[in-house]
Amino acid sequence: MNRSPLLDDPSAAWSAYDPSTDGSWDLPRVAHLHRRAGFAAPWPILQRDLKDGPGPSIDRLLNGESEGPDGQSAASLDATMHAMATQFAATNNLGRVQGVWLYRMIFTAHPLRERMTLFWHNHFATSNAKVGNTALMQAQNDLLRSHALGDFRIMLSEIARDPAMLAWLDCTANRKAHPNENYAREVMELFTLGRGRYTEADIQQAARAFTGSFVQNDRFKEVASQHDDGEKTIFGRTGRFKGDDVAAILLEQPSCAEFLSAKLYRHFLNEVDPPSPELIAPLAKSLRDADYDIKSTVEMILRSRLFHATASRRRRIKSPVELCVGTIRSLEIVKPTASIDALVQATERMGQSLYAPPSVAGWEGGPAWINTTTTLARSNFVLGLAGKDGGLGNRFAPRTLAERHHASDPSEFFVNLLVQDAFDTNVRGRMRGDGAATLVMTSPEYQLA
Amino acid sequence: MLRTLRRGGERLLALGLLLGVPIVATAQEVPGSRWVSNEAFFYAEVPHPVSAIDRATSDRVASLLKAVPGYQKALEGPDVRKVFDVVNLVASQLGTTWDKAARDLTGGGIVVAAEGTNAPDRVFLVMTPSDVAFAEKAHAKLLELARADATSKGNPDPIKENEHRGVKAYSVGANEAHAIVNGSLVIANSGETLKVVIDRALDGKTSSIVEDPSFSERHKQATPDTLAWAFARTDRLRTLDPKRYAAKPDAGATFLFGPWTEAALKGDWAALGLTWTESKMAAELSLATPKDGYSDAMKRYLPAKGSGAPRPVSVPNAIGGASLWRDLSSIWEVRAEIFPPETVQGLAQLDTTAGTFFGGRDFGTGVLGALASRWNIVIADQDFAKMDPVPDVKYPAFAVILELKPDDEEFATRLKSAFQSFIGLVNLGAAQTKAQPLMLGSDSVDGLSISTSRYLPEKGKAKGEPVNARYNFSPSAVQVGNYFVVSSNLQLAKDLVPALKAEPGSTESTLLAEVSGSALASILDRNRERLVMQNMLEKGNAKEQSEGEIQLLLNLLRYLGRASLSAADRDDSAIFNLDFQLDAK
Repeated sequence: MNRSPLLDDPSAAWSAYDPSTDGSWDLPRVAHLHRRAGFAAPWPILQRDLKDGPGPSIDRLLNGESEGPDGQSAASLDATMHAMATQFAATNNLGRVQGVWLYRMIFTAHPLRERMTLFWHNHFATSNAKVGNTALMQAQNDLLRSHALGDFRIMLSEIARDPAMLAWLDCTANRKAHPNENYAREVMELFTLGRGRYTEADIQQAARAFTGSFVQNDRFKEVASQHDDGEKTIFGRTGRFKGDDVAAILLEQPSCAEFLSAKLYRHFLNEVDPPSPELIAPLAKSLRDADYDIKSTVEMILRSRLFHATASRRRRIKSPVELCVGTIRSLEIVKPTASIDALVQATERMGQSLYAPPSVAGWEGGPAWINTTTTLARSNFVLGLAGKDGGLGNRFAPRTLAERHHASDPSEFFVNLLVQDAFDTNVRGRMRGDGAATLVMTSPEYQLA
Repeated sequence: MLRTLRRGGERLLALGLLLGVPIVATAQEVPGSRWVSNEAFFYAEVPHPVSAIDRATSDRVASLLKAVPGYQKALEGPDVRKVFDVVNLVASQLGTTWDKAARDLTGGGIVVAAEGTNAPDRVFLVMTPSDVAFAEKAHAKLLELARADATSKGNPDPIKENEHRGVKAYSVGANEAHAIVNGSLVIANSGETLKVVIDRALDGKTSSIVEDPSFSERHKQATPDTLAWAFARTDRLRTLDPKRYAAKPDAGATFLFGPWTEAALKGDWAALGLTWTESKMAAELSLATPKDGYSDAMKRYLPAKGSGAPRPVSVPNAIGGASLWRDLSSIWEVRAEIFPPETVQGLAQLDTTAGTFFGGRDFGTGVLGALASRWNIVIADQDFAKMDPVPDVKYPAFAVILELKPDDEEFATRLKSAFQSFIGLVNLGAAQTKAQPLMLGSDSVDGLSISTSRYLPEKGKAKGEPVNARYNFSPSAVQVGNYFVVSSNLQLAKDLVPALKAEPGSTESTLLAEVSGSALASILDRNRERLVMQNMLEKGNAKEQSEGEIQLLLNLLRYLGRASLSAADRDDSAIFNLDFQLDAK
């Protein structure tokens, strides 16, 4: 695949995509937008957005729609999901809590928000394997969702008080006599600056600022008597800093916006071609200028020429959650959808167990998603949707879906729905018969976003 | 018109579902039963099909079935609709409706039999109409339509006609032959079988199954209310399928059902009767005891006459319960004989460790040996209004009642101590997961001290925050005379004190169990929101779909009313009764 020349021309790369000069607004572009900014879209949504053009389509993704894929209003789904999360969070049954999130991703009217919640879950990676408390994990998930497209400053400040995060990093009793450096280290290395952009002294001083943080009865508590109120020097600044002050200092560092922008680039654009500092600089500037408002930076990405460039397509590997939720949404398996319990198991077999990332660094992603075991699991998921014996419930009837959309050639329909321009004429010609949809979904191209 | 057809279709499918269950009898002789040889290995009769049709097509049952998602889907399927259309077309051509036709065609009763020594060679059904003229007319109409259909498609005549001793026989394939014999429609698995049945009907000389003493003795089980009755010669089935009957039951089945599995595998016959009236649905299964009696090991499962399972204990807000007679100490002695080696190995570990909870007593003689043979489990609703905090998911309370042998007073103290050790272990686990601990305490009723425990409330919990299901439990233990109660909840332990002081007494049964469908439905109803959400995740349903499925479950439980199960061991058989006192509302 060709590398986009825009990668070497930052100014052109981040300028707004114009269909009249940068390539027409066609089905592959619409599908690419939904694969990256949502979880893939069903045929009617692709057709609607093809007709409406990029502006309204991106607006809808940024702001959410009024109805989910099953016609349920966004407000009604949010209420149901809140009740469901409340019901199951206290059970300490991880599978149920994972299921609640997958259910929400399938039915959401705001797929970009869920996608960003997943992004932050990987960014602030916290695992129930150590926290051992699904109520805290659910509360963290709610926190990430509420700021998913909001203010990173607030999110960073709140994550420092999040009981699940503190339990995960062994910081449930941070006393001034023994400052715990875990959170101070992770907040610099993984949450804001990146490795090598701080000193050990910065960590030690920041750790003092975070003393007095406790988790008691599953709640965050500041214990003033355990806070080290002395002067600290962090990144050259001296004062009687507290945790929030550390967050503010970190956000002031130029590398913070660069680090976050590079992660957003990898998430939305490209995990194959590493970006140059020059390419990231305009994005980072936008993030800083917007005072760390995430939505505006995401918007800049989604409206850019680089995003809509043909060479940007299929430069990412779908994560297991993206694959499962995207497949279900695009195949309109929503009334009813697949067994969520079976879906939880399927994503786990593919290597992604929600609320259980493998380390503080989250899931590695990219080519790490693909190995012999996970490839088999991906195929089994697809076969399970159409199969009779799979726990996924035999929910997919290719012929019925094709007929619903008056497709004269079902094989052609599934290629257009699922992979568009990924197949050349030769490969398209081989996707024939009743099993065409399954062939498409088990192809290497379908594993790419 | 379409609506009428649909309504008719629904009722027809309901009937079909009913006839799909194992069939079967009455105190009266059903026409055709004398045509079954005493060499049959399976016999079934439906003496009053009209009652069955009435029950299955009643508005209550129809509305319940209608709410079953699969049923509704099946009704809408093209194949089922095609069948409905054909049936309704035939009925309309005969100037009747399908349900009247079904009643007229089957009103005299139905008999099904299978015969054969090495294989099920002869299988036939005898259906006796209440209106023979109508049956002949219907039969002629069906032949006419089948022939017309074949002609229109350019196919040869699908019906072959024969005659045997003046009786006209018809066949639509190698595995089907039928005739109207003495006013009954006989459908057989081959022309040969049909000839044999015609001969028996005309000659009346066969050694009929109805004259077989083992059959007629069992047939007394049928009453005028019996909807269906079946009889199987398991000794002959063993010859037909020796592999299946040579299989050894697994350890769990042996422990739970010991002698009954032996009866099923080694007995000579089994009989099943089904009853379904407005107010009751019941099944009675009898299994013959093996000809030479049970093995010595299995005899240890059987109570002496008159001293079987204890009577159910009555407490306020009872939902149900079970009682059992089982001499565990005696069974423990023969464990190597009745269980597979891997289970025996597991039991050896239990032997080594379990005794430590009871002051180092030997598990077999010191622990099981101190227990008498009467066991009781009680399930009751809880008064959640009196609870603080109130758990989000609301479970019923349950208690296990052990009867102790009177000559070992120290054992009850050991049990109390084991209960407290158990609470300590739970707290150790809770400390590891930072869950709330159980606080030990005591209470008293009628001068008896109850060891109790309660979960420490969570501090600083805001109103509306989820409350863990653990607050359903306040584990308690109390000794009442020779009974030792371990209860999930203090109130139930208290309620059991006067009930046990009244001494429950014994029954003739080995096992008794009962449950109130309406009480169960109330509990489920209280947890409806959780059940709906669970259903959404398990099945991927939308909220409305899940709500519909849960509502159906509640309706079904309420309809089934009070259910009871009993198992009694007699000299010649083991008898199982399952009863539902239906809610007619």
